[in-house]
Amino acid sequence: MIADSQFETLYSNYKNLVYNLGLHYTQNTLDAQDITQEVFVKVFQRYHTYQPAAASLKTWIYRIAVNQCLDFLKARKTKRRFGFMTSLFSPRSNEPLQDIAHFDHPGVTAEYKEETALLFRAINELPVNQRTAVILVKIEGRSQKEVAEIMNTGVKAVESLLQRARQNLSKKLTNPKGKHLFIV
Amino acid sequence: MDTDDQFDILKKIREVDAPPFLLTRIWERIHTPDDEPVSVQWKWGFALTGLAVLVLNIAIVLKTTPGQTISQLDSLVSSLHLSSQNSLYDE
Repeated sequence: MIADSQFETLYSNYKNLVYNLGLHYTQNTLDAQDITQEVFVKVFQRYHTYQPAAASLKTWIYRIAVNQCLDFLKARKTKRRFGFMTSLFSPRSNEPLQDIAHFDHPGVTAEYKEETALLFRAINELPVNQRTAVILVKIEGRSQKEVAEIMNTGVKAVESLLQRARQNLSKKLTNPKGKHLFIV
Repeated sequence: MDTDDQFDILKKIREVDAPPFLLTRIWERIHTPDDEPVSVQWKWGFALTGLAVLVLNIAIVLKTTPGQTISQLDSLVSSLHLSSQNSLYDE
């Protein structure tokens, strides 16, 4: 069990890391807040399972955060799929039929908002591992070695994931006439 | 345009501070139990339903024993004067 004061120190050290990671995955402030909350609840509850010899605290928190983000996205996808059925059984519900989160990333300046939103739309379509590699390396600026530790894989595998992500993004961001839809 | 150029725009994303109220929310969440314990009424309800289903299954199995099925078949064969043998001609 972690002491309250120790947990608060840990929270103040890593809150921005977790919150920003949530933003990169969801591009929505409310969703990122929910993810941050769940991550730190898990950190509090599972702190006794943390083994300093196996990984650094930062890597451990990163792993929990990445898994929480992926679980959150999976749950949102399921909710969308069954949203219609739910609305049939509870027609008085005030929830929208499809909980489609709009692009709301406070870290993106208005100048680049359109291009970044377009790029994120393509990133969101990437397979889970490729998406994680892109977010951690290209947005978070982590080294490939660090990302390999977080993803519990090898450096070569991360390199390969990034390479495939690049190829996939290139295809997704190119229209049928061969022109890039995305202009920097 | 190179894909790396596309990635470059991601580097322009600024780090954002987590909202200050989050810690209060987290403490509330930690001190609130996840799920309410199942009430005794529900437990009894599930147990009785399970028992009823089990009894019903046993009753159905006992009612349709193989011996009874054969005797019913025999009575049907005799009432319709059907031959219960494979030989078609009385040889």
